[in-house]
Amino acid sequence: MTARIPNFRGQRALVLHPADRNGAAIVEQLERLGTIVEMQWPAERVATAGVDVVFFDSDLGFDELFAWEAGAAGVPLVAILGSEAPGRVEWTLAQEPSAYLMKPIGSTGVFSALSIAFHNFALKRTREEALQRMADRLQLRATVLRAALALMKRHGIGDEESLQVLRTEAMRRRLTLEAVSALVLDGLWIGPEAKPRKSLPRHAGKRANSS
Amino acid sequence: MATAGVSRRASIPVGIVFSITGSYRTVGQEMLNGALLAVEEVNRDPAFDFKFDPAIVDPGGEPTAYRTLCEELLRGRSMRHVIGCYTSSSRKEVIPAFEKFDALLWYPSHYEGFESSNNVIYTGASPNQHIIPLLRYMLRECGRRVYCVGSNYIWAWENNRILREIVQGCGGTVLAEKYLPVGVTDVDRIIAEIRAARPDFVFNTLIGESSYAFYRAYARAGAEDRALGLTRIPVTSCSLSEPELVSIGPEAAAGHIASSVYFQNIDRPCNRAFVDSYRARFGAAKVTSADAEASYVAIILLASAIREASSTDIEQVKTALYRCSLDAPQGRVWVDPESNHSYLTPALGLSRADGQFDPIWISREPERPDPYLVWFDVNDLANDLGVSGDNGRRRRHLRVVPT
Repeated sequence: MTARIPNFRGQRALVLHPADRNGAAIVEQLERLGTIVEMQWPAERVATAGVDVVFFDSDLGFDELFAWEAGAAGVPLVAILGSEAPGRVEWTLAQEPSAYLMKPIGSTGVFSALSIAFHNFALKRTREEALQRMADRLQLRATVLRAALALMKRHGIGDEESLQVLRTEAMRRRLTLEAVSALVLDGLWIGPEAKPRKSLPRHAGKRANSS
Repeated sequence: MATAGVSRRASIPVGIVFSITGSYRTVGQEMLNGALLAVEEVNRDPAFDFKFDPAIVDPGGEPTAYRTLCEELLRGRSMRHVIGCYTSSSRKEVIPAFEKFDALLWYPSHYEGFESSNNVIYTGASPNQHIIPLLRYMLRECGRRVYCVGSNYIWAWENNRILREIVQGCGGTVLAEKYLPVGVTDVDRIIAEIRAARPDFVFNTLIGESSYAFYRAYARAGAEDRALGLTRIPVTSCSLSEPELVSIGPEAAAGHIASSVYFQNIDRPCNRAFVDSYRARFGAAKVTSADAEASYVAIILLASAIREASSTDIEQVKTALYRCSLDAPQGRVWVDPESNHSYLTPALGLSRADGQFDPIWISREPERPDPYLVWFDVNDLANDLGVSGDNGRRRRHLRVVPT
């Protein structure tokens, strides 16, 4: 793997934090890293259009702060934690931030918080997408099963062969197994024209010779 | 010896924290010398209406001792300004104390970057002022197959990481990345590997005795294997200095390439004066170095900023400092308010047997510090070298240089 030095030049950072000492320290560090920073407070129903990463003050956060459902942010979030009161920690966790910074903000922390946030957010996204794909396919297992049964009945073939027919067709059409199964059930494809041929002894013999 | 004028001058305490004992005492001594020379110059100069009262302590190379000693200076003696530290671990150890007591650390060493504290003024080189000029030169002049050897700690790791990105981004290959524990001098296996691998150049981030042992063994191997001798497979470094060439010895000192913002041989009036007073003060046989110069520069900048601010308060001193510009031995030096790092003049030198460097390249002007490498783009360098500037995965399929 190629080692990449994280570079945040030109990334747009939105900092939802009052313009106090901590806020200023974060903005200062972000600017040193070449990001384009906007600080905003008060803030309400904030959207992520034109923004690459959002920093927010956990002490002041409330349910209407973001325009999205808790945990469904479209960009990485970095929580700025001050109070460790359980209610504040709980609200912060519900936002599913990709990284955290502890107050008081000194002259370090923002570079690693950004690196961690972008890394974790990409990982989270990849996993959520993989999970969604799995869930979709799980839901369609019944469709596949019914299509396989239909082909077995129609062509008088066994279960394994029926599934193989579906897989081959899916590959040929560059569709998923589930999509081809749906075609079968909708009567848009009735299976191979002829009954799939059993392998011939001559063929098998030829294969044995050539090996 | 106080004259009437001098006796009226206010005395400003300044802490000096360098390890003149312990594993890197050679460098510590140079830094102390540079700082002392500057303190004495300031104290003699009627242009300053104050005198520095230095408190010199020696942490002996122990990180925890740095913390204890600095807290003593800051809390016990209420100092606002301290010059000191060489290794990154010692600097990281003391920064919280400076933040807590609202004091300023003047840090005079090149380091690996990726830090920018409001309580530190950095007068040594940042990575864009040492490793990048070195690689730009080597990749162009020498080739793109590199062998890395270093001491097993952050300086070597981070430099090698930067090197790997640049070399790969320019279509080259890092043949190996070998580490020795700090202080270990058993280098024979690494020399044998280099002989077998035949890199275009070696990048050395070993420190102290390990590094000196490496250069000596390399020279011995060069006597049997001509390719290793005198720059045919050059050894390059971002820390090799004049006093170290003396430690390595005349048989092994020649033919190495160093990247540094200062060489004793830089031909400028200000540098000749610096070298003369250094010798007059510490001995005719002494050599100057980047570390001595950076310490000297730090103290002169501190004095200029205090004079400009008429205060030792760190915020006022910093504000004044950002307006100061110094004709230093290396060239003009000033501090970038954005990062607290210094504009410095990168240069490359080729070492000689007599312990000096011949400059082989000097930047035309001081270079802005970029401790986080925000403004560096490997594609620009690749374009300069005339190789594909495609960065990332695609590049590996578009190999330009057959290996």
